[in-house]
Amino acid sequence: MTEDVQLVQQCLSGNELSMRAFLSKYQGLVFSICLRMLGHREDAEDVAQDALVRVFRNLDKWDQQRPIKPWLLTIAANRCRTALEKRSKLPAQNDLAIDLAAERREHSRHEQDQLDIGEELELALGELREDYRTCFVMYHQEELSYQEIGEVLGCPQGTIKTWLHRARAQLAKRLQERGVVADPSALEAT
Amino acid sequence: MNCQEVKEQLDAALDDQRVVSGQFDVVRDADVVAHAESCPDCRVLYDEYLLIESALAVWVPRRPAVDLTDRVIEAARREGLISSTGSAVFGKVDEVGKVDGAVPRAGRLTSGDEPFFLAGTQATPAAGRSVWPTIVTVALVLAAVAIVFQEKPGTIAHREKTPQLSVPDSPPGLLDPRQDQVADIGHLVADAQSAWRGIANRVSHQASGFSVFVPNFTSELGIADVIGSADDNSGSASPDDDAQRQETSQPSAVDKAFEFLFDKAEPAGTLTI
Ligand SMILES: [Zn+2]
Repeated sequence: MTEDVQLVQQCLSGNELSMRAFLSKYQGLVFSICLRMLGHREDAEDVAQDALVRVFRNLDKWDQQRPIKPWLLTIAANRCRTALEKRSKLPAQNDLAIDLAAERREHSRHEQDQLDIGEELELALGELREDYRTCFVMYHQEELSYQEIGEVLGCPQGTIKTWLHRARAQLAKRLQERGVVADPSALEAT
Repeated sequence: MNCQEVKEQLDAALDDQRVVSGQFDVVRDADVVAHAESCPDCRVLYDEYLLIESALAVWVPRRPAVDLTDRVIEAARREGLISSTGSAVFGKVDEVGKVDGAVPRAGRLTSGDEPFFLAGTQATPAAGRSVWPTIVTVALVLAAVAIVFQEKPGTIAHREKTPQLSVPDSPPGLLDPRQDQVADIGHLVADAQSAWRGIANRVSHQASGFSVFVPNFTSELGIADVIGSADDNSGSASPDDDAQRQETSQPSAVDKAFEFLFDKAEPAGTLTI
């Protein structure tokens, strides 16, 4: 029995301490993807809370033969898309993703005049359209496979592959526009 | 190597980039590099690849700090997803005594409702369901006591049935079992002592501050041998005594004294001294 299976079984019995342990382990993942998709912290907190409660409510539906991470991200992504749909119906709404990116850039400028290429990538990510950004993060950060991302986002693998390719291309262009150049030493170091 | 093969190789290399686990597959294929240097379209792709590749190599994905634990646990508790065992200190509540900040939830108590009082939470032990039975019980007891004491206003305590002195039972059988409801027991003891002295001394006049009227029942009660004939105590009281008899006739201190002595102080057999 894996650690996750054991923890989930304790959560299913309504054990509060186990549920807190579960949250300690996975709320960062859920909140992170919510923030990536929504681009707004308060919204992300609300949606992540909603998603995590749904996780507990539906823990018995998780297939314990499979990794839990994609299952958690599926619930989180679904809640985020519902929130995005609601948001799109609101009049005169701002592009929160762009706001967040600008905010981060301003913050970073104060901290350090010269951003390294990793920080530039982070900023550029915030300016990507939501589905590309989500795809990129799920692939490169959360290390899900095309198939898993397809299941999480409810899209064919081909679509995911296309989105990921476009995400990289757009990120590269944004980095180039900002005068960022490849650092061969970073690659050599790896 | 053609353009399509170069593109596939570059994509495959990026696909192998996994930031957290530190996987990197850097394209150093001489054929790819040679093609990119001679093909403008593939040169663009190759430059983009190098940029993303080097950015991913140093990228530290943001995982903003967040603590939604209490919010989620509260929400889960409201949905009954948390067991009461191990977390609930007291009972559970429904509409009252709710956990601070919880949204009122209609319906009756279930095993999954929010615990009445939780360690580590801002629970408020208001009037929970464990309090109401106590309140109702106390109210009923007070009502019952009030009814008993209302029967004869102005007296300390009363018996539902005044002992019928003509009944030749042993005195304890005539007594009211609710003797213990007498509030001013000290006063009654004083009355009883005076009365007993009056009986023992076969007097029917004032003793210890009040008149003792001893009716003609001592022989029926089997104490005649001890205190002798009580003829001179029956209806032969002086006019002065008549007035005072009025005061003690309902219920008389003698009644109280017997009640007290026989029910509380003396076993039945000891009366036939
Ligand atoms: Zn080419």
